[in-house]
Amino acid sequence: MTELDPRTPEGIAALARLARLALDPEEARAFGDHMGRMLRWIESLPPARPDLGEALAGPPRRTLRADRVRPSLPPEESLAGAPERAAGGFRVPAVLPGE
Amino acid sequence: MSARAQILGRYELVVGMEVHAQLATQSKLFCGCAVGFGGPPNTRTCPVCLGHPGTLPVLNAEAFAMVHRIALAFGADVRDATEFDRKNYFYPDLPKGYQISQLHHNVGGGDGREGGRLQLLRSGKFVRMHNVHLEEDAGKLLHLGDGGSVVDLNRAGTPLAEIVTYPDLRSVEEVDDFMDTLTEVLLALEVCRCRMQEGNLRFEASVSVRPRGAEFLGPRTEIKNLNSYAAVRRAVAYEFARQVALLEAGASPRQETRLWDPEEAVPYEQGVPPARRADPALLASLLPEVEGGWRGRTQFMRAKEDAHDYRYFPEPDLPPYAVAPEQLDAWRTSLPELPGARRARYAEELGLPQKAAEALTRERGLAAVFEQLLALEVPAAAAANYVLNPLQAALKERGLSPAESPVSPERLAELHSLIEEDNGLSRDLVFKQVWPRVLDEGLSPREAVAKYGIEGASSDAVVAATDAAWAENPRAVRDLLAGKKKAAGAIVGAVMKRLRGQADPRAIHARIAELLAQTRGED
Repeated sequence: MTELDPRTPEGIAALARLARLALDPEEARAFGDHMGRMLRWIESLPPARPDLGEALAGPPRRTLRADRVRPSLPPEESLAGAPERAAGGFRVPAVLPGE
Repeated sequence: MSARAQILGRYELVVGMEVHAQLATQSKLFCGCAVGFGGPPNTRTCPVCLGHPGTLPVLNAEAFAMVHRIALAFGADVRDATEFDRKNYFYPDLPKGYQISQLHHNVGGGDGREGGRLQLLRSGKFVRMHNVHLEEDAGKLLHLGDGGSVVDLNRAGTPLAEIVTYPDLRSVEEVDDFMDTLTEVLLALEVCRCRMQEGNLRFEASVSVRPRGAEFLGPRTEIKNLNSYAAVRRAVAYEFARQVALLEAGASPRQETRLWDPEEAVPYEQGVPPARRADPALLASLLPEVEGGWRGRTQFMRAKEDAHDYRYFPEPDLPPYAVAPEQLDAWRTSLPELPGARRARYAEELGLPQKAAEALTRERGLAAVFEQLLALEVPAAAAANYVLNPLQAALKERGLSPAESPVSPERLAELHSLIEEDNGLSRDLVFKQVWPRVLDEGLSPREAVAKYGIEGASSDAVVAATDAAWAENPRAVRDLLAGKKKAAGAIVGAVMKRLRGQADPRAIHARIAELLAQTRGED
């Protein structure tokens, strides 16, 4: 199998499966066009990520944090954006293994 | 040879392991929420681990150190710089729609680098490590049975060390040996609590089968949902039988992910084309014989994803992390003596029986008590005995770890002195009358002796009682004179009975030896 190319119908179908989206042929064509345009824009950008050596050059930066517990959100706030709730959690349609 | 053994003997089992070890940090990998088990759902979450837009992850220094210590313990080629990747997939327990993991610049091994190895404790075999990397855990799903599921994100963002081996294991026994060895190493490193029942150590087995003697690797199935050591052993045995049944029927296993179902007895192949289904009767005949009948099966979950299905790309929210050579050296030199090395030292240098050496190194903390007793000049054999018998039994009864022991090593050493001194206190007496008071009342052994006036039988009493038992047991005396040393037991028993267990058996044996010498002299 080759890399997924979202500009091909097969690539769009595979991406839709991984994203658990059911696309009809019309939508698949439209998404293919959109993705193709987006990819062309992205490809026109210079590579944003330097290699590891380059990224690590220069003065050291403090990028780690100490292993200390900080207060969590009250559950009410954690669940504020939940479309539906049940038993203290976010309720979602069941996705069972293998689906 | 049974038909089962004949068929299975034509094939070789090949197993590789993928292990997820939750690191024993206080807080999560990229945020300050507490790491824990259980509790009300969604009470240990924040905007970072909920995946809210606009938040940024900040790496936990302790998790970073722990995963390096694991890689160094295997002797892996550890990188001087590491970075993270996004692994993209959609599942409701993954709030961001991607997992922060490592694919290319992982901590140890991978990409052709040396991953190190692990020597199995029982067989001595070396298992090669492919790589060790750091990643975040997902949340948990509770299926409601009404078409809905509840998402609990308390676990989301917990630091995980993923440890991947080469397919070097060849039997269920070796898989078991691997799990025990790795558990002991992780406990010794103090990087994981290793409680499978709490999900903080999770094994996945990649199983394939090939004709015995073949060099190639067959297509492998990855088995998930293995939540106990027994489940791993049974699932691997089942999968071996299933794949052999397929090959025997001229079909071939395929690369796929299967779920272990511990309860069901019937092979279940929904979603698998008939040509790829194992014949149930043949499969059943190849399963190990188990009292009460075999239970458990693997069931098809999905065809295996390829790495590109996850569309990995470098994590833009985290910088690369350099590890200074001095830091690596500091981690390397602070590694504890690992259980394999410690066990070998106990057996070879201290002369302990293999079983005692194993028992002392199996539970974290027992060896520390043992080492302290050695430092207090208690001989190794006696020290091992105190730790593995009275102390371990008392800890088990109270549900305590060795670190929480109510009796300090100093008091155990004092107990040893009390037994060894010529004070009439036998070992039995000390353990029956002194030990419970040391345990329950927090007294030192000598304080317990003084407070309760515990004393052994006087030497005169022992001599008198032994002489009486000698006279009352002519048959035992005859046997002793004929060289049957075991016959002394009857006399010792009689003396103990007479003195209500308060005599020191060593004193009784000494008197018996005198009586024997006298009797022989008279003859």
